[in-house]
Amino acid sequence: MSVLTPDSSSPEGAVGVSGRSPRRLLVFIGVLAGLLAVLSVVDMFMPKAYDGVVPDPYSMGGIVVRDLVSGGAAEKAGLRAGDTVLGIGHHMLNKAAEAPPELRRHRAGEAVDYLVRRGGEVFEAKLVLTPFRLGSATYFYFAFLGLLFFVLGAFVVSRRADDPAVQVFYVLCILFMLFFICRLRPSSYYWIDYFVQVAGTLALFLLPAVFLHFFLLFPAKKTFRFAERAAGEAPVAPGLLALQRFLNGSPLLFTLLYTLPPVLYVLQMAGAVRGGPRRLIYGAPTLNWILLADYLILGLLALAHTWWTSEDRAARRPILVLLLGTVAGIVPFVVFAVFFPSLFREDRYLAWGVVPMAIIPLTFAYTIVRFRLFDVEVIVRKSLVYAILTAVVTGLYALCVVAGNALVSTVSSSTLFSSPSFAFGFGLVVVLLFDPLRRRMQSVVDRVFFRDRADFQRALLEMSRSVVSQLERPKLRTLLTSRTAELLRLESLDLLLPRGEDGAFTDGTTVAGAGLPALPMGAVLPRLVLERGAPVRLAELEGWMLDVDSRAFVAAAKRRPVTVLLPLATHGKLLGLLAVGRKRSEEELSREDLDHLLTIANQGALGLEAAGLHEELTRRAEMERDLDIAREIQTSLFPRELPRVPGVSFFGVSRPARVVGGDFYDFLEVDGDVREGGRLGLVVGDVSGKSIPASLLMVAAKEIVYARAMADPDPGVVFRESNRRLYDIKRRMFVSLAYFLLDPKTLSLNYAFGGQPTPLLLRAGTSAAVEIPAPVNRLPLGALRDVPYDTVTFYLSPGDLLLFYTDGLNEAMSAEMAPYGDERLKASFVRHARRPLPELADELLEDIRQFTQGAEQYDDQTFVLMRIA
Amino acid sequence: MVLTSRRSLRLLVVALAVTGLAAAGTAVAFFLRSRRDVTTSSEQALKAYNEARENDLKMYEREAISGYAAALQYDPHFVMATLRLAGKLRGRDPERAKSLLASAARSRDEITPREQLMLRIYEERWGRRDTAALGALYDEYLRRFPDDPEGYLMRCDFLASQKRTAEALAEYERLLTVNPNYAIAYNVLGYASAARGDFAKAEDYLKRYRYLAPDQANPLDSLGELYALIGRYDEAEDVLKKALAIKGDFFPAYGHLGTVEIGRGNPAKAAEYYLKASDEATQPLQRLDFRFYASIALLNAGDEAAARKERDLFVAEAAGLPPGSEAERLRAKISFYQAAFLAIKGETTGLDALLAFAAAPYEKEPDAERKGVEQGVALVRGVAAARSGRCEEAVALLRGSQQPESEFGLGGTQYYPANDFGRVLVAGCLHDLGRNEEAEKELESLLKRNPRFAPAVAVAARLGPGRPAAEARAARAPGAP
Repeated sequence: MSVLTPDSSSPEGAVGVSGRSPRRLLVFIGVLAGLLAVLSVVDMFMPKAYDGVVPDPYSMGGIVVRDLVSGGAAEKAGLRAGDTVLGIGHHMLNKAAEAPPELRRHRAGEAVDYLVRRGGEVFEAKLVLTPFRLGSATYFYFAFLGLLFFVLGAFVVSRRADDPAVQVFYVLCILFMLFFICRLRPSSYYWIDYFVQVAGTLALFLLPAVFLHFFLLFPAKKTFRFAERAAGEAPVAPGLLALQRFLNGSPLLFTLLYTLPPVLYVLQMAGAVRGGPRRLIYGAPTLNWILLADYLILGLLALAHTWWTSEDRAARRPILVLLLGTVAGIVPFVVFAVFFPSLFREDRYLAWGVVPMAIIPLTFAYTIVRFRLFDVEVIVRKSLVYAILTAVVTGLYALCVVAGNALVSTVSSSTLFSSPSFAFGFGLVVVLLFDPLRRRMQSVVDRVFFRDRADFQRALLEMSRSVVSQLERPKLRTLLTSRTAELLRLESLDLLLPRGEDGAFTDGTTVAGAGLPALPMGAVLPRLVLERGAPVRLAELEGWMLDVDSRAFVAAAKRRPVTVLLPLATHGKLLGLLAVGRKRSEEELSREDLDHLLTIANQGALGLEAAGLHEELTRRAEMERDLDIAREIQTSLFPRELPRVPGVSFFGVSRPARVVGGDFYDFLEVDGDVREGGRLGLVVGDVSGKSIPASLLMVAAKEIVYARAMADPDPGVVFRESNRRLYDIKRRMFVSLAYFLLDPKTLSLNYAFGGQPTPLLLRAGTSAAVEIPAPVNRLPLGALRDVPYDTVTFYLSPGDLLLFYTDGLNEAMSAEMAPYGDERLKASFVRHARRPLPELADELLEDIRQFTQGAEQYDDQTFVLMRIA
Repeated sequence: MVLTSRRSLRLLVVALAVTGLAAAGTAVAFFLRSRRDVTTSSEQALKAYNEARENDLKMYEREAISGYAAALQYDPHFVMATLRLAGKLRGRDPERAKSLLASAARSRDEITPREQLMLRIYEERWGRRDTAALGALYDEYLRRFPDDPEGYLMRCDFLASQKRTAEALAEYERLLTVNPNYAIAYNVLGYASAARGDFAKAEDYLKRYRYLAPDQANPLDSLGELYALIGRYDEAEDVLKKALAIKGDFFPAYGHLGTVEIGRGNPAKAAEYYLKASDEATQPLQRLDFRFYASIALLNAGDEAAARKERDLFVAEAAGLPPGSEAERLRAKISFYQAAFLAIKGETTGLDALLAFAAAPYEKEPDAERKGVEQGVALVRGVAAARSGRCEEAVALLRGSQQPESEFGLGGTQYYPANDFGRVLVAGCLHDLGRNEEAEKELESLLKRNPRFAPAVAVAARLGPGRPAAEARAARAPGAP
């Protein structure tokens, strides 16, 4: 059985857990960006030489003083708002951006000559630069915001570094951080500024592209279908089709996305060098900011499109939350940080646009916690628990201190609750209670914050229990495939079990070509998966030396597409294989997913083993029941009472090797009541084989003999007729049969037998048992179609004791596989001959039991004793 | 192509790498270009050249010349040093200048395209003097090297020489957008603004010039000259003395201090400064000029004996001059100054002969140059007429000698206010003729610009009551403190 969602046939989206993870690169980028951010923050809060001029960033032909920092050097030197700074440190300036390098050449406390124009007058002013921390509360907020993004990205990537969408998200978070910390900051006039500003500019280039890129991938890859037409509809223009293909994954699309911002920047800067117009916002050309806004809006549209087109109601909720949060964060930024400066040359409201951007990381954090976004909730979950626990403990401590002191102070002046002893004692209590508290807190947190997660784990637990307890294979298969696929949101999940006839692993598909091909038991792949004992990624198998069958299987599995194979094995025995398809979200299978799958596979193996045992037990129980019935039937076929022949006594015993046997004996009154002189037929038979088939044949043989004997009691005729009939029933099963016709009046014994041991005779007054004369032809019945059985007539004397037996007596085997033998049988027979027949029978059997020493009885043991009075 | 694969991340990394490479490439290109301004095999030569160039832009003539010469000692094939030195020596040693130019031309194939183009400009400027070809070369230079301030400077000079003043000024403004720290441009624009009567703007430019080069004497001298021109004598004296404090042998500052004293009505003191300037001047023509100014200042001061002595000294210089066209022009100028000396004394004997000798070398020159000489001759004759009491003739001659302000071009330095004196003489003559209103009108523009020009104030005072007092008008004068 397999579970296959409708989209799984898509040729795209070969998401796999395969391939090397670029963890090192990600870590390197993160460390570098973090370092730059730290440098930037340190730089901003490190005292610097500053002139106290707040410039108009758009003025040209000098720096128009927009405002003065109170108590700053400029104010002290008599500069006023509206003045134009023409030069700093004997260097002429055209615009505000040229001031930082000039200021960088001086130190705090140094007097610097400024050339200033006020109205029509140009004059020089000496400004004594003052130490100043550039980092304001606004910048502190920017830094906090950037750090928030960074932490979020690091959290996510630490959990799922192999997921491309996560990787892009991580880079996006880093760029947001660099943008906030390195771009939205004033120049510091310090060497750090070079690196920080360059990083900020790079962030400005890449941030919009990565933002758009991320929302084209997340939560699922955008697929445009505007050029698709149903059958029968008019075909679309080739250009439209090409556009659709371009938007659906052309490398050129992403190349354009990423190269457009830097190209635009270079073109603007080059144009400005040639004297063209250039307007800068925070050091970057206006067009770059407008492009940034465009990309952000496109990213939002992509997210809105995902939400609008998503059919999964459960998936729509987190997307909607993300969309609303991102819109709330981005729109004010676009309005106040991009359009206002671009259109109205007004950037004093920049902070208004940046402050709401905190909503974006907070929204992502919320969706991660609430909706398991990126599956990083485990970390968050634990962090929350410890944070809440710490808060609770701290609160408790504070409460104890305050309440305790308040209580104690009413009766004494003791400060016991503020003393180190109390802190120590409290700490001791916390240590003792920490784990129980944590567990209790964990369950509360799970209930409050991770209901979905808890639900999922509960469902997983229930399913694991069901898998182990389910003893019906079809239901077990359904649990292992449909239910697991549904829980883990997999496109497909196939269970391959060994086929009855050859043990090859198949998914049970009966339609040719619909499922995976059979994988022979002896192929390399099953062994490999078994040896690994862990998930094996199909992509890993490239380059492995696989046999033809395994290669064919892997190729078919990839087409399906299957990404991972898992073993279902117990005690080193491979019971089946799980072929795992992609996730419906097109994300790669996470480590946690694989852990879940492995757990389910292990449980499934136990379930399969239990189901196998259960089937065997059921089968045995049924057989036992059948055997009981057969034994009852067979027992009923043995004579219920012994014939009462004057002067002749009988005793018969049949001990089957299994529940039912193939031996039988019976007495027939062939021509009237034996008490009135009628002859008595004695039949002793042994059917080849054991158990039910043998017993059935025994019944058949008995009935045939009876029927023939009733028609004509002559042993030769009975044998011939019965032989032919038995031969027709079953060719490869024979019946050893002895048929004795006793005439009580003459004490003659007319008989024929085939395949049976010759009965033993102990004459009265003798001490040696002998075999009675045997007929010439002794072939078992059913061996050949036409056999001319001859008969022998033997006369008995009073006191004679006869033992009619099957080979189960003389061929009984000891534990050392030594046969009991004719001689031992004869000796036993002679030794106990004087005893009454039932005791004699018991002794015979006891001797055999003692010889075999409890070894398994492998043949029925049947005999009839006859004594002539 | 599957977008959810890590190829997308690879694209991101590639974009980062490309951006980084582009930035690095741009930086390297800028670095290499900055290293390729001039061609020389010697680091020491390059250092000497750069120092000389810096001094050149500061107008420190001696240092510039010795620096270029030092650069050539380190690297005799240093073309740009050769060209710059030739430019400096052209006035005082034309033959050596020519020889240097020829020497530079021999290394034509071993220099950068920019140097090659610069060489062609020098050759064209000193050779054929084909204006159109020269203009085309300047255009080409700016087209190929749009960020080189010197290209704008050369083209500006060229446009000014063609009387295309507005274009020249626009060119300078453009230069400042390319490089707002190219100090000499502010100097030129300051003079140009002053020549056009916009003294506030001139002061703005010159203050920027001074701000950019606080360790140089020339910006202070230029500012002092401007202050002297508009009668802010105290400020002028202050900045000029500061210039001399920076560089004690900076002769223009002495010259302008002379101008200040003339304006103040202290010709004797002015003569001292002129003589000092003459002593410090580096070129014969400059020495001649200052000695002449000193002589006429002494004459005005009433010290005729001293004046004659100075006159005799500069006349004596004519005897020692070697034959050649440059010496001929120098002799002509000496004759002109002799004539002027006679005219100021009111003597006319030999005046015509001297003026005829002075004008002779320029008879075959272009109209513009010849016209300048003619105006000078008219001025001298007018002064002579005025001193002789021939007022009608003097007014006509002196008015004819006045250069219209529209022809001031980019302006230039002026040590002796000859034109202003001409106006004062005209006003005096008109007053003598009883045409006071005309006299006052004659002085109006002069006093408006410089209400403290003592000779003008003295004449204005003679114009009688009821007339607007010069001092009163001075309050409205532009740039007055």
